[in-house]
Amino acid sequence: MARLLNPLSPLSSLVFFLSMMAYPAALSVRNYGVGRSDASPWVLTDAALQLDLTWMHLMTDVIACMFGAWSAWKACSPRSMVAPPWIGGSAVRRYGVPVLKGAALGSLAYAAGCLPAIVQTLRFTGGSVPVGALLMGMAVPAAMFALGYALGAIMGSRWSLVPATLLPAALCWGSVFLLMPRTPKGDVFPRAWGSPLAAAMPVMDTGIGAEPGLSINPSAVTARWVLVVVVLAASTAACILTAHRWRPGLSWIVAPLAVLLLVPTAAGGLVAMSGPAEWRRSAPFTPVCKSIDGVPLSVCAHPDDGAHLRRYMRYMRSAASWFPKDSVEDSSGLVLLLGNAFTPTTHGQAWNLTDQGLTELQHLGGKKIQVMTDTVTERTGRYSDLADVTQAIVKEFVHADCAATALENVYKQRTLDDGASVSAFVLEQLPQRMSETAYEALGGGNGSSGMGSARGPAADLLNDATDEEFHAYVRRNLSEIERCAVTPSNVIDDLGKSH
Amino acid sequence: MVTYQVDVSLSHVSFSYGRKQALSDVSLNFGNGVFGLLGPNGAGKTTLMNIVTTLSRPSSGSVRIAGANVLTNSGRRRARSRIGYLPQSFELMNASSLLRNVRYAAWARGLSWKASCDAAVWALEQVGLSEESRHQVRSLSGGMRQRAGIACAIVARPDVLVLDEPTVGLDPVQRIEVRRFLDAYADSHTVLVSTHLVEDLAAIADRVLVLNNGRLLLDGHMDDLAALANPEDSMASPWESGYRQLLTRTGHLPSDQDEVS
Repeated sequence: MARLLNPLSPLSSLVFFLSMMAYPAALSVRNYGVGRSDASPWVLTDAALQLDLTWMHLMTDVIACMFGAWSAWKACSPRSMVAPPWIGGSAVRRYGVPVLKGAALGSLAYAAGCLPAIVQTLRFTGGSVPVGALLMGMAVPAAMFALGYALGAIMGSRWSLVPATLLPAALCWGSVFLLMPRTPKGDVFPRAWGSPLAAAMPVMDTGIGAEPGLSINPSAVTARWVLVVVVLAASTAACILTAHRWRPGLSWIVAPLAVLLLVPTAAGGLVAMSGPAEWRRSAPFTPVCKSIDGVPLSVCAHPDDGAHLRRYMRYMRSAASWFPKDSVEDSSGLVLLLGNAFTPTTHGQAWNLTDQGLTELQHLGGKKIQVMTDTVTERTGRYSDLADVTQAIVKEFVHADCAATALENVYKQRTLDDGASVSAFVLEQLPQRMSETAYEALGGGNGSSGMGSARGPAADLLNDATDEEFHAYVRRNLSEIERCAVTPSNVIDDLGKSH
Repeated sequence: MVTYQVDVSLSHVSFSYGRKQALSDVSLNFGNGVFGLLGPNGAGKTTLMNIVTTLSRPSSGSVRIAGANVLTNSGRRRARSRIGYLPQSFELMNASSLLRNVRYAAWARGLSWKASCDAAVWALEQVGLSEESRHQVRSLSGGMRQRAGIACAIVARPDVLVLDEPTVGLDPVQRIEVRRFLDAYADSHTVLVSTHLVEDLAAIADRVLVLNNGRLLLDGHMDDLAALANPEDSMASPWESGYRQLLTRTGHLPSDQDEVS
């Protein structure tokens, strides 16, 4: 073991390994609350497994780079007694071997940190081990260790920890900002699969979970590992150049730094410009669709994504139960399209479907809403994937045009003083109340509610009503709410009796 | 007259840090034996050692080590494989055992992993640290750490061993042990020792070089230094007194009378 790790000490390697694992493992473990209704607030209770890839990379990459710099300072700075630059022997052996070992260690630590998330994701999605996504992620700490080692060897002092912290942080955040403008606006979650920069940028890993209809491009994985090999070679070359240059002065530092920074940058640029897109979308497909009996609500998914259909069906059924049957039956209906697989590949194409799939979708009628079903992504808010669906259902089944102006002022009003303000107050709470009820049925927890700012007897009664009371109140008064015909005193009369 | 097998040769070597001249036209030849380097702070001792260890390139002049011209890449590569160096302050892998440090040092210098073990055991034995070989470096005392550094420097049995203040922090017994080792090692190798401890050189140095302001003030035997001693200087050994007198005579230190006046 000692020989395997040299010159990294077993103790510091263990600390490094555990530090590298800590953040991804903590995020992974949080996901073990999935499906539990009694989970603590610390545990995520969404039905989505999540890893914060940006922060995860920031943490692991900074640690990997710092450990590289620290190891080099101890092992091969001019003041080191073990492998200083002024000794003979093979320089490739002196610098290449530790760089390779540290890179391998960093990669393994990353993979070990992700293991809980992978296991849990597999349990929930029934997918296969995300080898491609994992390899993409493992590549980055390897490169960062090598960069850090070279920085440590070049600077030969503990001050190398400063650039070894700043460089990976800048690379991670830089890639976030570089790729952000490429994110298209709209309802479609793009996941940056279209960016040519993705293969070269550290944080643009694919997630660990399966996203139906999307698969990682093996060419992108290969391109990233080729880039890592270039970084490892450039780092070793920079170390060797450092050992061969005369000191003191500063001119000797130019060549190693140039090799260390310019070669990987050029290689990264080449990969980014000519490299393959990270995600490969499914070919046009015929979706699997299910409809709720007697209600014009349907859910469609990629054939690989059957597991998700049931959950969404239950949600839709729960949401539809909030409205009187006749008002639901009279609506033109809603169709949920689950996942990025539906996103068209070319402009002018409605959906990424076969002719048969498009025909089937047309037959379902109603408004189409595409929902992101990514199982591993940055958390954007509680139940974020279904928030849009709830809003759309409310819009579809409740036509309260008279309350439009009052809705704009729902967080400015102090009291409810007319029918429009009451309708707006109810409509503002409705999606949240619907989500609460649906998630309780699905085994989820409670969430914060979106309440208007008005207070007073009527507003307090609406706020204090349980979800069941609110549900019953809406069903009793839907037509009046739609016409803004419910006055505050009506609310007091109706809800006051039940209190 | 003692003759040496010439292993290290400096010819008209000068070196400057910007405008400051650190070494001026120094020519020296070293063969087997212990060569002591004396001089006040800033005299140019470390610069000279950096040049011998191929860390610094001289501004002018030539340097040959074991026949290799260190100013060429191939020559420097060949020279480096024959040099062992202990800087004044150095780093070790504190979280690793002493044996691992020395063994890795041997491996890094080109020995096979198997051979590196034997070499490390030998080196630790030479500096009297065999029993502490399994100890973590962080747990070693200052003197042990210093000897660990020497073990790393000698582990590949270099032809030219350059030591900057090797006996700093050692207790008298340890100093004697290190002197004994260096004396024995110098039988078949070149040992260049820079120190402020004149007594150490008196015990082992075959030749002493006194530098000041980048110039060589004396290249001779320790007896030559003792011959310069002031017999009335009861507070110093003959070598220390001679060293002081040398610096005074050459105008690098004020004389006793000057100090009194």
